[in-house]
This record gives sequence, C-alpha cells and structure tokens, in this order.
Amino acid sequence: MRILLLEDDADAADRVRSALLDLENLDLQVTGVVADAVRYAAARPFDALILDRMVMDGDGLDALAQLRGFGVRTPALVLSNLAATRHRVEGLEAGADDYLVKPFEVEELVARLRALLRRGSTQGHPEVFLLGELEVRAKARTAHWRNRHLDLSPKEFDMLAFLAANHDLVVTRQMLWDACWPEYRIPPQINVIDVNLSRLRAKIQAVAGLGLIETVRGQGFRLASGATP
Amino acid sequence: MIHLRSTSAPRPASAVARLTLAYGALFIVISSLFFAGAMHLVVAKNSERLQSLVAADSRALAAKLDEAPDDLRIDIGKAIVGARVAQAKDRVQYALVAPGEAPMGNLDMGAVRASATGSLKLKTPGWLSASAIDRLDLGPNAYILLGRTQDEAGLERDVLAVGLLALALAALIAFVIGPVVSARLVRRVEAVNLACEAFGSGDLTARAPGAEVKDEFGALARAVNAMFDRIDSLVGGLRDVSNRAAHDLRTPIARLRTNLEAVRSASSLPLAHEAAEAAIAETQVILATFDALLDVAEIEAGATSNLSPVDLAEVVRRAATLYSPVAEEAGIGLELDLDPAWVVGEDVLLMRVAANLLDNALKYCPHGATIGLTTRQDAGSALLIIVDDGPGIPAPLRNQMLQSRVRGPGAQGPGLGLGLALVAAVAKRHNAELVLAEGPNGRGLQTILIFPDCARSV
Repeated sequence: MRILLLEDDADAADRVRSALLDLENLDLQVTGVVADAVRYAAARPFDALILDRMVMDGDGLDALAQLRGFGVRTPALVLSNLAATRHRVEGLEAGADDYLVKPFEVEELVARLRALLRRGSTQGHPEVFLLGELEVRAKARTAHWRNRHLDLSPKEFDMLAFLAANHDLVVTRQMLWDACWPEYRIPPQINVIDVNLSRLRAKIQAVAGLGLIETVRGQGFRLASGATP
Repeated sequence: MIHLRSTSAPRPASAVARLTLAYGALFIVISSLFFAGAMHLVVAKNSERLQSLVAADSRALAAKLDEAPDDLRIDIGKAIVGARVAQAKDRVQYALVAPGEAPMGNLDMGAVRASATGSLKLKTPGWLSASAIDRLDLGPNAYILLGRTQDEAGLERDVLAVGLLALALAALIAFVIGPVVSARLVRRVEAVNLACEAFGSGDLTARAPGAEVKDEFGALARAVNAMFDRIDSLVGGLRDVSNRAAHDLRTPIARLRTNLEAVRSASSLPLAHEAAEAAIAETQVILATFDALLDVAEIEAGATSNLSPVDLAEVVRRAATLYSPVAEEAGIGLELDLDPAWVVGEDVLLMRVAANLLDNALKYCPHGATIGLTTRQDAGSALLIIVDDGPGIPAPLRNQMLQSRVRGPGAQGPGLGLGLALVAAVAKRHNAELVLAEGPNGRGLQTILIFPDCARSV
C-alpha cells in the first residue's frame, strides 16, 4: 500500500503515520514541499495521496490541481485545518476525492482512506453488490433481501448503496452526507442523516428481521458483508 | 526591530494652493501679452491714420506752392505758414526752416528727431499718443515741416483702463480668492486626513466630515467612511466572535476538565476509559462550536461572495424536502405556501438559513404541531416566514436571543444559540431584517426574514 503524504509538520505527519499502521504493507512517503509532492506523485504510482493544505511553499490543492492536470487520477484525500464549507467545496472542486478536517479521529481517517482505496481499486462502481442475502443494484436503483424487494426512498437507497460500496468499513455521518446529499453543499444536518438512516434500518428490519446496519459508537455506521442471519 | 515613524513631518505645503497660484500667474502673463499686443496695434493704427492726414495736408500745401515761381516759394511759404499759425485753424503745426533764419512757426523743433536713415520723427507728449510728421522742400536747405500729434489719446486710455481693470481682477482671483477657495478645499482634505490619522491610531469611531456634500471631496469622504465602517464592523465582528467563543466554549471546556480529572482519579481502567470517551466527546462539542463560530464570523465578515438571483421559494422547497422525513418522524406537519420571492444573495447561505430555522422549529415543536413555511414578494420586499404552533418563546427572551443569542428554553445539545447567530449573520449579509414574533393566534413562534427584493438589494 503506497501512500504519499504532503505534510510539513513533523508531529502531524507522525500522527498520520501511526494512524495508518494498520494498513497492509504500508509504504508511506512523506514530504513537506508542494513541488516535491507533485514530482513524486507524477513519477511513480501511489495508491492514495493525503494532502495537507497549508504547507510551507503553498497549498496542497495546487499540487492536486497540477497532478489532475497531468492526468494523475490517484485517489486523494485532503487533510486540513481549513474547516469552512467553502474550503470543503474548494477541495472537492480541485479534484479531491475526500476532505477531512483536522483534528481528525484516527478511525475516521482510516475509514475514509479505506473507502477511497476501495473506490480506487474497483473499475468504476460495480453494478451489483452482493452482501450475503442483500443484493443492491446501483444502476437499477433496487435493493432486495432474499429476492424480496426493499421499498426505499431515493435518499434511503443512496445511503444503502454507499454503505454497500463501503461494506465492512466505518462510514461517518460526514461521508454519508457528502455522498447522499451532494446537491445541498451545506454542513451535515445530523437530524436528517439520523432520521433517514433509522428509517432505512427499519425498512430492512421489516423485511429481513434484522437491522443489518450497525452503529459504531462515536464514529458512524457499518454494513457487514457477511450479513446473513 | 521596530521602525519608528519619522517625526520630522514634511513642511506643510498645499499642492492645491501651489497649483492655484501657478495657474493664476500663467493666466496673468498670457493676458498681459495679449493686452500689450492689442495696445500696440491700436497705437500703430492711430499713427498710420495721423500720417495719412499729415501727408494729405502736405500734398495740398505743395499744390499751392507749386504754382508759385521758384524764387518766391520761400516767401509765399512763410506767408501761408504765418497765416495758418495765426489762424490756428487746424491741428497741424508748422515750422518753416530757411538758411540763415530762425525757424518760424508753432512746431517745436526740439521735438523733431531725425533718424539715421533721414526719416523724421516727432516726439509725442505721452507714451500712448500717436504722432506724424512730413517734410515739404521749398528749395536748397529750405523746407516746411508739418507735424501732428494726437495728444488726447482717449481711446487708448480707455482700452488701457479696461485692460488694467481686467488684469487687476485676474490678479485678485488668482492671488486672493484662489488661495481662499483652495484653502477651503485643502481644509476639507485635511479633515479627511485627520480622520484617517485618528482612525489609524485606534479611534474606530472617527469619521471624515463633509460626506454629505455632493462633489469629489464629498465622494472622497464617503469612500473613506465606507472603508472605516467596513473595518469597524470587521473588528467588531472579531470582538463579538471572541466574546461568543468565551461564552459558548467555557461550559464544554469546564466539562472536558471534569472528565479529564475523572480519568486521573479513576480507580479502575474501565472507569478511566469511560471518562476518556466522555472527554473525547466533549472535544467534539468544542470543535463543532468553534467551527460554527468561525462560520458565523466568516459570514459576518463577508469573505464569501457568490451573489446571484435566488428564489427563496425554491430554497425553502428544497429545505422542506430535506427535512420532510424528520418532520414525518416527529409527527409534525409542514405546510408550504411558496410564491416566487427573488433576492440577490448566496444560495448556499440562504439554504443554511432555511435548514437551520426548520431544524430549530422541528426540535422545539411537540408531536402533532404544524410548521408553516411561506415565501412571497410584498411591497418591494421578499419575505421568508416560518411559523409554528409550538411552545413559542416569551417576548423578553426573544429580544434577548436576538441580541446575545442565548439558547431558547429547553434547548438540548448544540443548537439554537449559534443557529440563530448564523441566521442573523446571513440576514445581515443580505441586508435583511430578522424578526422574532409570536405566532398568529398568540401561540408558537414566528420567524420573519425581510429581504430587500432583487431590484433594490444591490
């Protein structure tokens, strides 16, 4: 697992490194200079980029924009102190696949990075997710449990599809919000996420007899792939 | 190292005054040249006219003398000159010069000058008057001089008087009125300068005077004052943010401290774990509050600017769509009455306002309540009204909430205080008025945002 980290603060870099220790075969390259980050990432293939925004010689987003300009499509996660909604939008518009605000929970960084890596490794989005008895068809926008149709609202389906695409990984509320309500461009509305999730869970419960989606305390939600009774 | 500003201020000199004087002097020089040229032309024309009169006289006299025999010419000349001088009939003066005799006649020979080329000139009584002279030869060394001077020179004197008067006026304007007027303007610029200095040294209430005058200096004062207002509100915003941060962060930080103390004094590892979890949760609250404060500060500072025409009806419709599952779950009805209401604003901020207000209403209303959402155009304003029939907020607390953004009664979790601060900030940014009132039937809460409509808001 080769990951490039652009971070000029040694403490913060160590924190990221220790967060990533769980990843298999971690090969982490760290640089504090935008120009070097561009050079490294353009020269050899990485599995993911983690970019800080305010480093000595510039903005990690500039490195990302340059790399995207060169056609480098490596999944990128921006890790920044700049927390305003405007900054998130800037990041996503510069070609970032995800944007995480510091200080971050170690679990959240890992969850997001795993989701990112999975997205990067699959060729586009797979059409069908088969998770035990659960079958989610992304293009047809249908979900079935043992061939019984789950009657979901569009947003409930979006959530289920996102959880399925990131099965066995922790999905945070921010990730769900970014994935399922991208048209709103406002900070996550916790009430809205929780109500939609509990309705989704209730609908699955009504058909499958179990909720499937587990709550990971203080972090978010997870859909396990071996979801058979 | 600190560089102190140089204390030796440059000599006070007014660029305006210098410019006024320079223009005045230039004007006077050009006027003088023009005037001198005009005078010269008038005098030259007069001389020419006089010369032609003298020449005519001279020709008439010559005609008379030509009839006489040569040896009598001098005597006849004397007779004619004597008769004419005696009569003093015309303005011509005569002098007859014959060899061996004193000149006779009334022309003062002392006033006659002969130039190197032999032409004659008659001295004039004044520098402005014209003169002409002609010579009629009678024989060897005998001749008559006819001279004429225009001593009255009335026209020239009048022209001179008018010209000098004009020059004096110009000088008065350039050197007396000009400096007075320019000193006034300089004083107005100086007043703006003083205001800038006062503001720069920390008096944020300093404003430049004369902003109401409709000229360039008034415009300068207005521009400077607008800048001061902006800086003042930014600084005020910062102060407000730090006050609010102190207020809103104190409680969670105190709780965090309690949790950490619990970790320290925990008797078992599970208890310490639990307290540490609580401490981490508290830091989330602190971070969320901090982000919200920064958000509000940024909106108030106006650092974001993506203004475009926005239909409030569309914004509210989307917010209602977003929250309809929440409302259904809570057993609260949403009633929409949405007419187009266009404003110039930021779509994202207005969406946050609508979502915030709806979120608040849903949090505070009991099962079975109804929330009404209205947008409409009304007498040059665009209105966004959210009304509920929930518990409402007593009037004194409503005012207090608008001012210091305290939490409403029964508030749980982070929310209304900062939520309303954000609504107020967005309202201010859109020049909108935020009103909290009682619901229509004396119950519930009515939140009204009055925006200037599209045509008037920019």
